[in-house]
Amino acid sequence: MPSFFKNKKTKTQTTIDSSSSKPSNGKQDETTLTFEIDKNVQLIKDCMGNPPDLNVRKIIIDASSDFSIAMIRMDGMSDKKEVDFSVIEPLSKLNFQELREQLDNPNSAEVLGRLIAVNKLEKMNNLEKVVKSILQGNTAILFSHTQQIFLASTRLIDKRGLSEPTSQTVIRGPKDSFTEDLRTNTSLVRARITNPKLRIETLNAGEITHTNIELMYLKGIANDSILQEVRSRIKKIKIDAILESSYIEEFIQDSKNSIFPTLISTERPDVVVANLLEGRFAIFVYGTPYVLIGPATFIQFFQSPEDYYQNYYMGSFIRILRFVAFFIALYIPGLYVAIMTHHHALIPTTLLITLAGQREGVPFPIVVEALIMELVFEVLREAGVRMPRAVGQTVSIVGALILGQAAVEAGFVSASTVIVVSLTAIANFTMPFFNVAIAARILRFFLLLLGSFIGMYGILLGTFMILAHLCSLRSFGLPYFDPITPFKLLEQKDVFIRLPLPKQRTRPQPARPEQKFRVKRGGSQNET
Amino acid sequence: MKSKIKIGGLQFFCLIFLFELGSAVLFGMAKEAKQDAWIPILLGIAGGCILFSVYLGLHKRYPDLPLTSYSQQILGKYLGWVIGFGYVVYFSYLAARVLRDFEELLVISQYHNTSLLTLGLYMIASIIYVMFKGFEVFSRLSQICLFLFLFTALPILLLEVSAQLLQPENLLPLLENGWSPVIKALFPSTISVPFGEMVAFTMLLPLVKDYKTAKRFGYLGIIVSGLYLTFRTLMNIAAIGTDARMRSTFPVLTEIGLVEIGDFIQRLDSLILIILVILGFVKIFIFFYCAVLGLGDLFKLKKPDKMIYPLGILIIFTSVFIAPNFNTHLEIGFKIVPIYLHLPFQMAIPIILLLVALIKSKIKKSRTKQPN
Repeated sequence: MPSFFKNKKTKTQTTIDSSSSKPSNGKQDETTLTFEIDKNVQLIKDCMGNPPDLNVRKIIIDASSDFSIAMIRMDGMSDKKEVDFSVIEPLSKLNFQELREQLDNPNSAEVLGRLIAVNKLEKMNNLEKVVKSILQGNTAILFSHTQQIFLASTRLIDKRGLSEPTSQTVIRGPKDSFTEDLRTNTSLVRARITNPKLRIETLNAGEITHTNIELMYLKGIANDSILQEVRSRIKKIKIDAILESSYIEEFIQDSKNSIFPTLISTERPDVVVANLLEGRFAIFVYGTPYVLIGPATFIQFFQSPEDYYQNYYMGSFIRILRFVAFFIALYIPGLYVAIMTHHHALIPTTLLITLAGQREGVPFPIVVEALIMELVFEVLREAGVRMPRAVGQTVSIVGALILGQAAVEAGFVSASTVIVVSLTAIANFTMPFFNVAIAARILRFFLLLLGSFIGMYGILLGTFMILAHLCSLRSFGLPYFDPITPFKLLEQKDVFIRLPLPKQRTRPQPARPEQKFRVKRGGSQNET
Repeated sequence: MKSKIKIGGLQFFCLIFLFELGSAVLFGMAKEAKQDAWIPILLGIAGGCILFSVYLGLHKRYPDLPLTSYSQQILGKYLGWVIGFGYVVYFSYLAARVLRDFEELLVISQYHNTSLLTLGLYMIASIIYVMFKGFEVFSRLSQICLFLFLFTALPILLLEVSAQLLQPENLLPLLENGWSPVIKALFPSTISVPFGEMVAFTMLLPLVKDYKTAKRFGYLGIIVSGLYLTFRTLMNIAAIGTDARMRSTFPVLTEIGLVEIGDFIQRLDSLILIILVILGFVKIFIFFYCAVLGLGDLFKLKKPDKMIYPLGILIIFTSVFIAPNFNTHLEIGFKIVPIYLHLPFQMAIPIILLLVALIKSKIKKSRTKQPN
């Protein structure tokens, strides 16, 4: 906790914090488990503040000897049916005399496992751990006259099924996408790489949320020093809650205040698989369908999985088209304003006459016109994301007809500006990854202003600045602009054009994979 | 500005290539030699290589030190320091000169009503931004600049050829007035202006990966850029002829301005500005950076970055106040600077330094031998 509340901490003992800070000796009595079942149940209840979704069920097995069992679980987090059939039913029928003797044995969990048919049964006698486990959806089983508490894994949380990706769609290619559930997500990748070298490591972050984070990589292919760096960076994260993978991204990226993303976030399992095979790592976070991939290069944000699923002529063509679209999205408004303000001479005379004719009667300077239209478009786009589905049509009619056509007819803006702005907007949507499009969206205004101030000269100098920034960026210590600069001829096979897959025998080097060749030269598919 | 920077061969080549082209493409070289202007450039390559071998010879003796440091080691603390400071002033002055060249270019070609100060401010502001990112970033940027250069220069070349602009007979007669105008053009102006300016690299050679790379790619850079300049000059003469070339301030603009294909592709001179600004950016950056490095070295600053802002502002103002008008600026540039600045700083001082270093090491050797 930050030092701001240091003084108050001693007065109010928080239950939330209990897992991170071990109970001090003075409060041992309140938090240690006893040999009485009722007291233990009460302890657990108190620890959580007796919430309404805490389900406690007590069964008296033998009234004479006062032997009873209690089961505690979180409602909605655990599988009710499984608890009923695999835990309660066998326990209520058990031979308690025999069991009683076994309970304090060191291997009592295994003995009890004969009866209780769940995936995993653990024995704990630490209140903190028990509470944490219950909060994860497990069922705590308490017996009379023992400190031991057994925890049966009965976690079941309502989750949505697999659906098609919403932001990274393809025409040809797999149509499944990640969900909010971590285990489902890792299984989607595991199903595609049935190889023991696929490793998953569990990490934790979020002082309060204890969000599960898993680091996935292919052992022997991913670079060890980079993995080491990732682990240490994730461990250093100091934050109370992790709600989305972007929280992690902001903490572990190299340059904290860059407009360009230095980690890929994807909702497509095939993208993760392809990147794992290039020696990169993936970070899965519970509660979000977006998986982080790193170390990333700038070029990767232009590589759609579909480039590889289509014929390579088509793949290369679309790749180049995407670069052109990025250029349009970034530059066209700026160039338009620069040329119309400073360099009329560049426009052929006939075109110039048309353009000047359109602008007749427009009251604003062209830069104001362009800025207004860009802003209007940004507002429309934001409205399109947030608005309730039911009013969607209204907004699009208002946006397209009233703001677009009527504004031109009324003479507020010229038609050419509307064309330029809409071209930019459409071009921006060609990016396969949303976050690089955002960079173009913001930098466009920077170039627009430079263009209006000092024309193409300003835009060129702005370009130098952007390029220098890109050259200075690093993703996990590796150059972001690799392999354009530092230039590597052999690595150009998958940059602007995509060579046929049989020609791509080496893994791309930007992520410094441990194995250079994708397949051993002898032709054997799998190594052991 | 960290000492750990190491530049690879290709990046070093890009730096040299763009640096050499800089203002040489802009002004057109060796105008005195008329239609034979390409001959002094071709010969200048050899002169450039000789000068570079002097710089390399110094670099070999002091592989980790820039010029401002080893001048102190060779000539003693005080004289060396003064010479080092002279170089800092020289580099800053050249940065300001090149900046003025490009400011004037922009004013003449596109921005008729914009002040020199504004144009200089934008250039220096972007250079400062890049400089704070470090020299490694700049050398990578220069690689991209080379691509940008090729992507712009090649189409323009093709257009020029397809516009049927070239008249090879403009190049004749060869050596009309004998060798004397050629030699006059060669020395000192052609040798000093693109090739001798490599003296700036005496400050940057310690940043190159190793001596072998510096040697190989240094010579390669000089030769390739020299050949490109020869080619460019040939094209220029063939396209616009000697007379127009003599009269024009920026012959390359005149040349490209003539390209007109089918009433639609015309006024390409605005496009060639892109190339020229790229070249100017690299050249100003290198001189500016050398001055910053030199200052940091002379005053033993832990962070030479601190000098970027003051020096940048100084360069902007110098560029504006250096000459009252463009003609004076050109006259100073063509008549005074080559003799009073380029000759001593590019040739005399480095050669003296090398000789003194050689003699010193000989004396040392003979001294160590004598006891035996």
